[in-house]
Amino acid sequence: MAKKKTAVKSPKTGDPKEIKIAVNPNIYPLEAIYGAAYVFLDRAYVFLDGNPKTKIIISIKSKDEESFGKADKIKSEFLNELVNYSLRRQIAERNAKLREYVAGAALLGASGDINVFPVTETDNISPDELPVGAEIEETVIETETWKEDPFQIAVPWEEKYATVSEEAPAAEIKTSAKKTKKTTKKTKKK
Amino acid sequence: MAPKSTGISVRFDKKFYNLESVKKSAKQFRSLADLKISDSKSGIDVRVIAKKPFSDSLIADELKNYALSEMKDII
Repeated sequence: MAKKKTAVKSPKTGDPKEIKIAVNPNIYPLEAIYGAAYVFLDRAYVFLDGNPKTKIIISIKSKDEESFGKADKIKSEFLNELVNYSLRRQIAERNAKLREYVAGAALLGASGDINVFPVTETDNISPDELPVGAEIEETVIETETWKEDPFQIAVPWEEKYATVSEEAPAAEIKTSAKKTKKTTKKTKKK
Repeated sequence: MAPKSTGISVRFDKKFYNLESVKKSAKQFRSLADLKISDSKSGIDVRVIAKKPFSDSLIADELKNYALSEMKDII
């Protein structure tokens, strides 16, 4: 447990806006303390002192003209933020390998040189022949189906509509010619 | 006439702040204060003499905050 955190007036300055918090670094790592302190930089002046192995002293001085009440509130919020950052660090440590793997796979996949999902023997087997619970293989087959492109999504726009766009002006001319003929007939009737 | 301020000294513990971040922070406040950095084995001392209309303590506090944010960026 963290050592007793007491809101005391700064012994040197006696400033009522300043409080000091003593934290045990074995519970709250230095990284978490930096992170929590960073959150409060816009509202308070934060200064770190003490021994990073035994006892870290955090001085928090409110930026507002309001006195100790404000600083005390900041202290409570700071302690909450410490817990928040400690947990975030724990989770980050726990998922470090997975995160590295995902990032690595994404980068390798984007480069296109290396196949992140190498073709295995099961890729040539139809889904019915797959053993029960072979979900990974099924997903590989699913990813392969997009290559078929039945709706020609991968075909460039120019290639897809090149012939149509060339014919289009001619068709437009025909329709406009018809319209002009109709109008001339109408005028003649009149 | 009030005597000219001799400024205040801020001590940054080397276990929490590194010299580079303190130097970088001090650089940002050059136009607001006269700053003198002295590096020793135990810590980094910065003497702050603020220019008018700023106070020494204000600049010192801002310097501390800036150095801390620099350290957070490093970490």
